[in-house]
Amino acid sequence: MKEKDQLGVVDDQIGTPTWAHGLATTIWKGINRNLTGCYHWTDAGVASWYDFAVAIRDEGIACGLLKNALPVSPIPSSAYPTPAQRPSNSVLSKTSTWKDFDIQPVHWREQLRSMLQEMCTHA
Amino acid sequence: MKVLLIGSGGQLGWELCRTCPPSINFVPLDYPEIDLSDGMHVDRLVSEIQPDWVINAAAYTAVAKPNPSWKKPGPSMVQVLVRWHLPSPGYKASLFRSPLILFLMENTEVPTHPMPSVPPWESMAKQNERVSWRHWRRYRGGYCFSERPGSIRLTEQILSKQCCD
Repeated sequence: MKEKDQLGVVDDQIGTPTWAHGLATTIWKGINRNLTGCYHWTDAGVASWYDFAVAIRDEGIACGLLKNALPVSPIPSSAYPTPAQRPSNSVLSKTSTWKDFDIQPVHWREQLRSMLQEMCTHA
Repeated sequence: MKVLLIGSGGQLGWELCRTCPPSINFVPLDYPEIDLSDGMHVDRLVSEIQPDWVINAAAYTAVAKPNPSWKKPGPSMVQVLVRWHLPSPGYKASLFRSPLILFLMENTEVPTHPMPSVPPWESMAKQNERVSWRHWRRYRGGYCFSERPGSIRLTEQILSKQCCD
């Protein structure tokens, strides 16, 4: 974002942005509880790539990592072909994970904010 | 409790390293200390370490970029990982005795080249161009991912103890 004048980001693919930090702490909790089986994991909430890009921009400005509000435009997947075909909906149910791991869901935007603040601290 | 982490240099591996509880006897490894393309090498390492748990956080990176090497014959990382869990004589790894946490978030093309000649993969490869979720479930009962036209998205972790028998 620091290097572009504007961005076009896909808005017809939804999922949940996830901070690896949350996944890592969940893993350790699972090991500690000796849990086995199959569990979904992402942060909580839903977003398109476009939503995610806008949030990164806004949170980046809020914490001082970015200076300017870069224009971000929504575009369809057809305008951004990739070698790897992406699903239009990759939202997962985490109900059993939250229950078995005794975890309170944290919204992806909160996690994004925490990650960016950590980046600011260590920058 | 001893935990072996494969892929300590990646995004998830790095987070696992810094969040590891002090009570854990933690053994983080990354390439080239551990080479996932060499099953016997992995077997030997795991046999030496004798972990109580194995976390595999290694994966392909930049999945959106075409990787010409995937077109070449030979085991892909996904295939190597599954091979560890096949009860074949050549791969009686210590992993069979360790609960495995495996993350497969590969939402790109799975290689369509012939798979390693480890039964029943060979016949599987002849019948299917792509690895199907049904086959994965057959072996471990814990693999969960969704298959979509043109791609396979692996979206779940595996916490399995079924490799002890």
